[in-house]
Amino acid sequence: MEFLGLNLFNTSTQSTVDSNTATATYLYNRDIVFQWSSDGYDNDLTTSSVTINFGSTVEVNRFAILGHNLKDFTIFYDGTTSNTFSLTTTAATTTSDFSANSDTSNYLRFDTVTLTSITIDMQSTHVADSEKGIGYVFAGELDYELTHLPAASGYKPVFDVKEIKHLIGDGGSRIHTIQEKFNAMIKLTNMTKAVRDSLKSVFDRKDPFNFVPFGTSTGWDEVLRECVWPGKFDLYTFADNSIDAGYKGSIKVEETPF
Amino acid sequence: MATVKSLSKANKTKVFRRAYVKRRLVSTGLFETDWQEISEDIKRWGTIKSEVDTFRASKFRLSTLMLKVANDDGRYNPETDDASLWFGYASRERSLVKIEAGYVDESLGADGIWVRNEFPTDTTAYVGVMSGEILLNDQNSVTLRVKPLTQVFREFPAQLLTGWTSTGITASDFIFMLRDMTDGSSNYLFRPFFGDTTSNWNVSTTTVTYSDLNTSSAKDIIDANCWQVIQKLAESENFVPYVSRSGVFNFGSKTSVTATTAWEFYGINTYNTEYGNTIKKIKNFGFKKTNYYSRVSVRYVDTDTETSYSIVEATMAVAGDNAVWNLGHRILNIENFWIPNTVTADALAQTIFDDASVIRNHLEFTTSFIPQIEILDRIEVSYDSADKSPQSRWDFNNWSPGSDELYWDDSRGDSLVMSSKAFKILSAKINLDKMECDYIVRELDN
Repeated sequence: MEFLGLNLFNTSTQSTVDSNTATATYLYNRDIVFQWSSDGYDNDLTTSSVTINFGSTVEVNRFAILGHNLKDFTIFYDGTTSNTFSLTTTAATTTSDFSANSDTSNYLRFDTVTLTSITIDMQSTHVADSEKGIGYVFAGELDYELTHLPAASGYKPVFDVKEIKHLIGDGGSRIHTIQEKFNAMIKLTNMTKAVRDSLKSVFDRKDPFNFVPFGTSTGWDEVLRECVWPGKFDLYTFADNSIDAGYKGSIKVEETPF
Repeated sequence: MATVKSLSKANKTKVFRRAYVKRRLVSTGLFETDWQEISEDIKRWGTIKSEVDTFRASKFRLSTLMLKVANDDGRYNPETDDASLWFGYASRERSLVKIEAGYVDESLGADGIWVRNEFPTDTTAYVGVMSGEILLNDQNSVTLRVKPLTQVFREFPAQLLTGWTSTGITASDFIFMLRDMTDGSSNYLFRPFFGDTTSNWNVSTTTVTYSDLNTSSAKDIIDANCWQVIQKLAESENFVPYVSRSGVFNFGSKTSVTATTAWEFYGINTYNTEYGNTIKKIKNFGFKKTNYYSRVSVRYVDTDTETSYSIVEATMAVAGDNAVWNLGHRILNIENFWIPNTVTADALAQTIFDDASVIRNHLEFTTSFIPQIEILDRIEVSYDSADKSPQSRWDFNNWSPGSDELYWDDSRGDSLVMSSKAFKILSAKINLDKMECDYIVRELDN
């Protein structure tokens, strides 16, 4: 379970696309339905590129693309195609160079790289000769990785839908959906002081954080949500009568507005 | 292919609400080009309401939209605060506010590309102007009070207008005078609030010349603001002044309802595959006596003599079908000294009488979200409340099927039955928090 910093890609001036510039802001819109798609690149032999220029040197060790249809694509930094990221977790590839990807979202972990730009070169698509599409791009840095995982019963992820229910005159219901938000409750026990203190620093953040419970480069559950931790911090509670048993308590994460 | 109709009747659909502001530049005083979205700050959306003639003929209320916004970052602080969204811009007061609302249809194509369409085509639900105190509190929330655009007419004394002619002007001339009013340096005073284009002024041309409207020092001008003058002229012409949902100022006849039905509403025990069943509740239906007048008296001369009045009235006769006898006289008194002559006063009295003396039913009902209804739109309503037997259950049976003998009466009753009954919209309210609509409508001839 990872707590990441804010998305470093967050303004329109950072992106360069070779088509559909009007929807380039969708690349960092967290609602993946707002998807950037290419125009005139519906050919697997034609490469379309998206470049994110951060404007200054930044450190990145997590990169994610969600809601895409890319089969053969390469992610590299500082404008050099050979500058792919060396992935530190098991993946279909060992670097950020995919040739036969079938997932619609990928979460890439790698050692920290200091860079100024990241480029996505898109060659082919899942359905051959389609326009290239990307729902959301995240580039950032790990803040804290919670290696002390909760029991299955202690992790309650919920996709909470804000909806309005209309009771029509004949007794029937009509639902108007506004938006779906991710919430989770994580109960932990027997934590060390170091884990507790690290979580306290996450709790104390003034900015939101990005929560990724199980980020994988293939078969990802696509949960990467900007969240806040509301309410109390109760992880100072002792887990048992012995101080060696460590601490227990709960983490609450609630997604922020788009 | 989704449409507003198909999404309105669908039983699970996605809706959207967006709020924007437009600030004024310090350098020019004019509005910035782009709208600034503030949707993510909205804690409570409030209610958009527009109405004409709902509580009294020729009286118009300007409802306030109350937007409650989160102010954790100080974005709604005074423009002198560098955290404020208005920092570097002119006052927060009289900033434009736009609300967009509608349905959204989202589908993922086989090619992995999302298709997203919003409905209706013009998603603007309201354009208004911030007016009133913007007060901070310890809850980190701020309530923005938003008035209809006609508020800007309230905030300008009629005496300061220029362009009068010595022989007087017509009502439409007065509206055009407002439209073309400048600060003396070719900067328009009202147009910027209405999209900075003359096409957002939908004015029906009138012919009656009001001789009292001939100079800025005319006695009826000196102590009036522009909105008061507009209301008085609307009364004289039997017109309505209102702003459409997209921010177009309308000054036209209240009786000119388009023949095209803008929407059909269906309720209990009625069914329509095109519009679906959208009526949640019928609050009340029936003849609204307070909007019925059997005698219209227009006083158009300042001196109080018999010839100062133009009166049109129904005759009372002791008869079961005589409305005045049945209801008693109800008198509408109008006092308007701008009306230039007897002919005009007679015509006005007759027009109002023709409209107000007919016994018309009013209907007040609540529906799920319908995004594109305008004031004075023609609608149709179908509703059939549950059958009710007025007699005992014993009476249900036909004891001798196929025979005339022993055929028991199976009469039924309904408290409320309407089949494609035509109405015009007098009041339309959208509750943006509940995404439901309330309408007050007046019966039309089908």
